[in-house]
Amino acid sequence: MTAHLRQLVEDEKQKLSAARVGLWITVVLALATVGVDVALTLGRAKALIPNTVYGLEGTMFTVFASWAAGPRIAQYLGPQVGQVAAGLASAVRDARLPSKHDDERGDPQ
Amino acid sequence: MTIELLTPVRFVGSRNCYDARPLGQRRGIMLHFDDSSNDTSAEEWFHDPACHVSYNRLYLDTGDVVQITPSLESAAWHAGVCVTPNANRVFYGLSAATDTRTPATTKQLEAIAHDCAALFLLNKWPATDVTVRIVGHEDEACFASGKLGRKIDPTGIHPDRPILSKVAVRHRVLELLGALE
Repeated sequence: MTAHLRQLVEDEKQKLSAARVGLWITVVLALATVGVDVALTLGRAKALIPNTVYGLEGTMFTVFASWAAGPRIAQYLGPQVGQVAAGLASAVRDARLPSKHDDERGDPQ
Repeated sequence: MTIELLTPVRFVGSRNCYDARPLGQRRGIMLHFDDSSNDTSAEEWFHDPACHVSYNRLYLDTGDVVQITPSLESAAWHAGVCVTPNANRVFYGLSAATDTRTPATTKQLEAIAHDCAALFLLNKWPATDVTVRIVGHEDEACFASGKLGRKIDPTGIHPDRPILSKVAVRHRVLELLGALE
């Protein structure tokens, strides 16, 4: 059980990962914030925890998640980004195709 | 028995052309497609002052023919800068009304081939000249430097899936002309 839990905060070299620790801390904080907010606002119509807190937690999550994923994430996102780029490129019109905006007046002689 | 030019269903009378040349001064036929999204917009554009293109004839999906220039001998603005000087005057300009993804219909191809055969007879060109006298815009259109590749119609982007096949048109013209001999 302990070994499984350790995997959550260790990197692939079985060393404690600051990024993963930070990520899990952020997740726990966010869950705690939501829990406290729900408990305090029961019966009230207004949330007590400001949105800025949630915004900050979202930013923290993004930072730690990107840090934990590392450069290797590019090998998964790269092909998808490439496909998007190819789609955009195909949407750009090939100038060699006929177009009603062409000027084919050529030589008037 | 002879092959007559198809009777147009409409005459646009576009002024986007140079004066007509006497019959016999043409060298061949240049094929195009116009990248139109529909037949109505294809014809309307030729009336717009901003339009600097035209064809002698436009062939619709149904095989119907629309005469764009006042006369078939008018030098339509279809070829532009080409390796052959004065290409607009040297070549008739026949175009299939279709877009960059949709191949010309069988009726369009048949109509184009029919008029090509009629023009061969009208100009007294031998049937053996189909390869040199029926050309695509892609075979002639060049950049100011003289380098080919300015245009890729009537084939389009995929050579294995042509929008309008020059080979098919030439083959059909040969069949039509051969039937008369």
